[in-house]
Amino acid sequence: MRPRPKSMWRRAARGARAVVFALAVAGVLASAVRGWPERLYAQAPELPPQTAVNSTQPEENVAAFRRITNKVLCQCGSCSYTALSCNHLNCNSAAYIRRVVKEGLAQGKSEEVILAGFVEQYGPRVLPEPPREGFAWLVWLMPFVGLALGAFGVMFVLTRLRRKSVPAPEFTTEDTEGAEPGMEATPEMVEKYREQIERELRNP
Amino acid sequence: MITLGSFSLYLALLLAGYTLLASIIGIARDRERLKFSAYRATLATCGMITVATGILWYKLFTDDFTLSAVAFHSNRDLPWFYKLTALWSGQEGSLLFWSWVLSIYVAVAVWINRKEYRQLLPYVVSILSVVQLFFLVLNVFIVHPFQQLALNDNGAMIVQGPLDGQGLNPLLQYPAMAIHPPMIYLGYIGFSVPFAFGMATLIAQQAGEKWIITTRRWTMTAWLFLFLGIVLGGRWAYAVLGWGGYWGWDPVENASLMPWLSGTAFLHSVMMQEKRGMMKVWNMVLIFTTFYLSIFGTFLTRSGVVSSVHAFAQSPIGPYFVGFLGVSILISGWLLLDRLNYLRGAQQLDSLISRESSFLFNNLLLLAACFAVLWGTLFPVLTEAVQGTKISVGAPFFNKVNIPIGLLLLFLTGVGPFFAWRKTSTSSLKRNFTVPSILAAATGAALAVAGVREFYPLVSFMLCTFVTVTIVMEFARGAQVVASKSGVGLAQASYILTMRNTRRYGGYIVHFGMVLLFLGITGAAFNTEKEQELSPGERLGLGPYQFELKRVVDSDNPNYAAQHAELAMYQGDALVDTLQPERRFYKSSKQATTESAIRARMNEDLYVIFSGMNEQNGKAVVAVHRNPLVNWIWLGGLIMVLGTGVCLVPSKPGLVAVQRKPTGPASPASSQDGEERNAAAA
Repeated sequence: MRPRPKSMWRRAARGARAVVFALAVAGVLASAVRGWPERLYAQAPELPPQTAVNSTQPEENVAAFRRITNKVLCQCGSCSYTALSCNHLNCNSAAYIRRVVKEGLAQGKSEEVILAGFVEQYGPRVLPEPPREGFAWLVWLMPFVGLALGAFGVMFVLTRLRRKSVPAPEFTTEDTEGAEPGMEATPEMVEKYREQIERELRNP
Repeated sequence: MITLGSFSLYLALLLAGYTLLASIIGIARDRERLKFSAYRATLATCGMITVATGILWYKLFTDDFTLSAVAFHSNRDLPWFYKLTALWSGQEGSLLFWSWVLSIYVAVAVWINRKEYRQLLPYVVSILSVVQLFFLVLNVFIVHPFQQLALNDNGAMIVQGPLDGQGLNPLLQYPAMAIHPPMIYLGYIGFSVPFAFGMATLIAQQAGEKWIITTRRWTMTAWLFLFLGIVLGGRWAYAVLGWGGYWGWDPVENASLMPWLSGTAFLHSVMMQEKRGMMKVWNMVLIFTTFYLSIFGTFLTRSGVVSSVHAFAQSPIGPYFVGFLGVSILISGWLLLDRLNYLRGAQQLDSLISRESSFLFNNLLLLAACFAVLWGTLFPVLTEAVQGTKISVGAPFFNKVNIPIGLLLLFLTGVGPFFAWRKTSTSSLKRNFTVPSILAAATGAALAVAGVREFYPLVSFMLCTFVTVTIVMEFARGAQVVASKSGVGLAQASYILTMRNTRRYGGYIVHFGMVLLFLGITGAAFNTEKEQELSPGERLGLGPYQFELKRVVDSDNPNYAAQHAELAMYQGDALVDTLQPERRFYKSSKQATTESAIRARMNEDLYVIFSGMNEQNGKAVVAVHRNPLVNWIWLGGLIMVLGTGVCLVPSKPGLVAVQRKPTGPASPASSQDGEERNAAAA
């Protein structure tokens, strides 16, 4: 509703507003990525070492525990979560798997050995990803095959449609040179446009 | 009452059969009165199914536990709102709900189109009546909603209901979850109408132009409801399931996503047919695929073919769906091949860099994602059939395949709208993409400096910037032209611009919402979490925050018993918030749930879960998740919904703004300064 400001100051003010807005947006974006509380507040005081998930669990095994339990699917049969993320309170399967992993880590077993133990007990369905061997290779292969086939299909359609088409007429400046609005069309121009109309009507 | 309900369903079945017969004979013998009789029969079918649905609701509200549909999904102390939604929480009730919504859609479709599409409508009605018949057969013969619990007492069957029902699954006692199924159904079922119009066009040997125009709003509305249902489901998973995530690539989640992906492909592809008369056959294929994926989606959810957290109880309806799908696909495939000649359109393309090619790539990417999801969801079934071993295909597969495709789609969202129809010149490309590319690169550099080094998140943030800038530029350019011509401000000019071409600018709004969605999803790459056992006074630290357990409190009400932990959240020395995650034990269904405490801000969510007490040491088990950017997902979803609403509003191409005239005679127009009016001459 406001008419465009004429004075230079008003224009400068609008420019400055735009700059401030852009900075604000940039600031929001940057802080959204990094988390502004960390920069604006002082660092949290050093606390004594955190107690681990389970008091019998050594500190460095916590990360391994989380990593391994996240690679095993809960076998209760009614969820598709990993043993780490399944938090159904009466879920025996996830609790059992977590206990086995904890004990395995406490005994010093490696991740591969623990996972292999689960595969032996439950079969390959305990892993959220099928192993990349044999028939299971297909699950990884087919999406890319599908995408490639589709891409070929699209390129085929595009090139085939291109070959069939009549090229769009290019208007050069010579055609319209000297033309003014309201000017009478010369017979040559009329003939040229009539021919073009005929051509386009023949090939819709 | 129960007899009345059963009888209405039988009658509805007969009426649907009559609709089919009357429309077929009306077409064959060219009897107008039979055709109109068929139309009215659809209204009557709707009425009958409404009666049956009303009766089932009545039974739910009056706690009649002699019906298994009521006994297994409701109980006396259930709040009335959840008694209402218990209608669709079980197999029988939800299939009745499906029939009901379908009958309403059919009646409305027939009523709206009865004058304009005289030739096509009888065919449409016949197709829709076949679909209605299928579902009514399921309702009447396979999973009857008025099935009574019967006890065999010394050889005599007596009907006796338990004193109280089993109650609604407590996980479903959440508002977003209560309306999630109706939204999904309105989407799935909504696709039946454009499907029927497409099939009708084929059967009637028409040229395939009309059906697109008449079904555009239907398809967009069905797509909108499906999208709403999916987002509500994600929101429910996040807020209620308590694992801190919103999408698990569960088979049933995938089942709802697939028709949405192919529906999105269809919504874009129809523009090629509208503007250039191209891709008529392909659009048929797309709408058929979307409809079949919807049926397939509900089949996956109900049949237990793939094990899932959503699965209903095992039931024998699986083979019926497979049969229906198989026969329909064969018939529609045959019809399509047979009627190809009628669908030939104006196929021409001048350049690889054109709007047409960008739509083709859009379709390619969306369908590639759809295929990947379908393949991954069914692969365990396939492996078991072929090899006999059971394997699982979980989130790692779906994420690895879909993230690159999604990013390519995001890129296309930015560049596609700037490709002109037929051919785009290099100078136009340069003019349009220089500024967005520079800003995207600058964003990437700034983020890399700030510490974001992972490839996919960086690319995603850069593309989000790119697309946002292109959208803003589109609005700004158009609004500036409008503003300079009419002298109004940019805000009002943007409004006028949008209303003049709601499809285009509503589409830009939807794309912008999608960008925010991607932004929120990318935040998941930076999620952190920690779990710890706490006694009162002990603290859990995550990032700059400390969570101190104050106490654990027990409470009780007729529906459930609860235990919640009070946690004080500190940042440095300052007390920032108090969070109370809870666990509940529902009495009638004997199920436990977690209610996480969420502190939601635009930059991150703090998501706290109280899993209960460790019996051995009496400590509370608490987990805290830090989920950056997650609320942009919900905001983006909302904007996509609003943008679709804008698209659905009819455009007003003649809209102009009236500027206050400083001098000159007073006239009605000039006294309404700043108001828009439709240019009467336009």
